[in-house]
Amino acid sequence: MEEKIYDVVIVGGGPAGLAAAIGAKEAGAGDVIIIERDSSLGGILEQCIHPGFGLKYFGEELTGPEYARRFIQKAKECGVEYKLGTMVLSIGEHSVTGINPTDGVITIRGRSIVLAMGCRERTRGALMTPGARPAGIYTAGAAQRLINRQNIMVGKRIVILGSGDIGMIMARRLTLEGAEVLAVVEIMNYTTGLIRNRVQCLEDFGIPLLLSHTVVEIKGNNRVEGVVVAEVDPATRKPIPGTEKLYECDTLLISCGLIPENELTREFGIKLHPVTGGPEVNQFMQTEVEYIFACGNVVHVNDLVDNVTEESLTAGRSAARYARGELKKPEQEIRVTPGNNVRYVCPQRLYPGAPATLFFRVTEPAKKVTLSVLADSKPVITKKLATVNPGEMQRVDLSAEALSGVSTVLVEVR
Amino acid sequence: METKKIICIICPQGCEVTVCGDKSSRTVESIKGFGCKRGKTYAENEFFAPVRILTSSVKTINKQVPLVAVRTSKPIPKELLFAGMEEIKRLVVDKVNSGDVIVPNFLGTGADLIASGSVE
Ligand SMILES: Cc1cc2nc3c(=O)[nH]c(=O)nc-3n(C[C@H](O)[C@H](O)[C@H](O)COP(=O)(O)OP(=O)(O)OC[C@H]3O[C@@H](n4cnc5c(N)ncnc54)[C@H](O)[C@@H]3O)c2cc1C
Ligand code: SF4
Repeated sequence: MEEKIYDVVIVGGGPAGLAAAIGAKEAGAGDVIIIERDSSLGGILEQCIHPGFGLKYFGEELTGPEYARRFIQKAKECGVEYKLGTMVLSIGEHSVTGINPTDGVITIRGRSIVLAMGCRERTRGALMTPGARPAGIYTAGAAQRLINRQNIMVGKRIVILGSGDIGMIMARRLTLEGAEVLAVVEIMNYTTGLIRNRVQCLEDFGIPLLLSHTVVEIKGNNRVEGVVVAEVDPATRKPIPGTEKLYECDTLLISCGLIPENELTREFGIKLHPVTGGPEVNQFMQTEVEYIFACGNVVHVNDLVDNVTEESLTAGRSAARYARGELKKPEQEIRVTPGNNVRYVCPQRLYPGAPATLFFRVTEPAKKVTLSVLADSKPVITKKLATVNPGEMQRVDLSAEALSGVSTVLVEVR
Repeated sequence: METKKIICIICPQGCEVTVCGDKSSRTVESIKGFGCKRGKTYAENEFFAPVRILTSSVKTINKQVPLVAVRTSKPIPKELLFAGMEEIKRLVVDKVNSGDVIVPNFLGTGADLIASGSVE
């Protein structure tokens, strides 16, 4: 029997994988399949029951499950196949190998492959605090899953380390559930999440936000009994002796950022970008291996799912094009580099002569700045921005003309 | 007369809008700091009657799916959030589909409490 070859095989059925599948079908792909390890599609959105999704894409405020549902339905309507409960173990040449209880180990072949594995929460490093490891320490996302999907309350008196979006969202959720959130402790001198969340999750409920502070010790042997919080020197981020204060709490949540889930990518031999932690891509979301595309949080951590959807539709369309013989690697690509006050730019490489949307994050918060994009040292875009924050991703659109006959692009904020 | 600083959350600029006015007569004496018209309207609404969408989850009788996500169909007055939570804690549902109305005219706000997830 001739082995079936899919046009597009997608790893991960979150918003990225779903949009990639829809994009591929819309661009005329034949057989498209999503492989998802969970028992349902939707990814992390299934536990994000708070509002704030889809403001940009649908122009209305949806919750995570509602946003996911629209895409799940659409994917089903356009004939996308999917395999649930199937954990992908490795990527191979034009193939993906996974395992599930009914089929055992299976290999699925595809002309194009799309990586959409999302991200996971940072835990190591965040907890470099001395002290025992008692019960009552959770990552914010794990606590979110317990409370929102399993009806398990994590504690009564809570301190949250890190002002990432999930931490702030959980501060509100726990407060509404009747717990007392004593403080959100952030080592930087600004919140790392969205302003919207700082306002609606912390300020709305009068939850103290301690900037330039960190947890230096966890008290308690079997269960958390308290944490010691100290101020840090904003320049060195080292705790200042004498500023320690004990917060008596039974639970510590950690919300110190997310990292793209890229074991599969790395094992296949695709280099990961040192800043984003994801594979480098071009504006077609094509990785250094021309038949492998990537999108969503596996490429770089997004704060808004709307952006994930947009770039994932592109990834899917591009994968469909590759499957029918287009989008071969160009002889020369344009290199995109981050300049002053820019932490990273994604995509990192560009196909010459095709329009591109660049997403980037600044390193430091700043007000009244100028964004410049230089192509071969010549400005192609200059734009005034009132405020920039590391927590809010910025975007800039470049035309095909701006990218014709150039070899480098630099993005800077001054 | 009362003065309030309101951070606009409509877009990432996060303008700090200062509103000075009188709540009982719903008059604005002065308003400044907004970057655009949408922000002005937002800040005025926040000043007089801040509203939020309330989301939570409701217990189900299904052992596999112990909770189903719910939301108010429209934003409701901010001061009713905790009262809303009390109401939500009392509810138990059987089968629901995303979008089904669970409590019409929730707390008399004109908004419905609707399911945002499903239990089959
Ligand atoms: C807690 C939280 C709160 C958020 N709040 C907001 C918000 O308010 N507004 C907003 O716009 N955005 C929000 N976001 C961001 C948004 O949800 C994410 O950007 C989006 O979910 C990313 O989509 P994704 O598909 O890349 O990743 P995910 O949703 O994580 O999906 C990845 C999928 O891949 C699967 N997978 C991974 N590895 C494998 C494997 N080896 N084999 C098979 N399957 C695999 C996973 O099971 C998962 O289903 C939030 C994110 C989080 C984590
Ligand atoms: S006032 Fe206008 S520009 Fe300023 S944050 Fe609000 S929407 Fe954005």
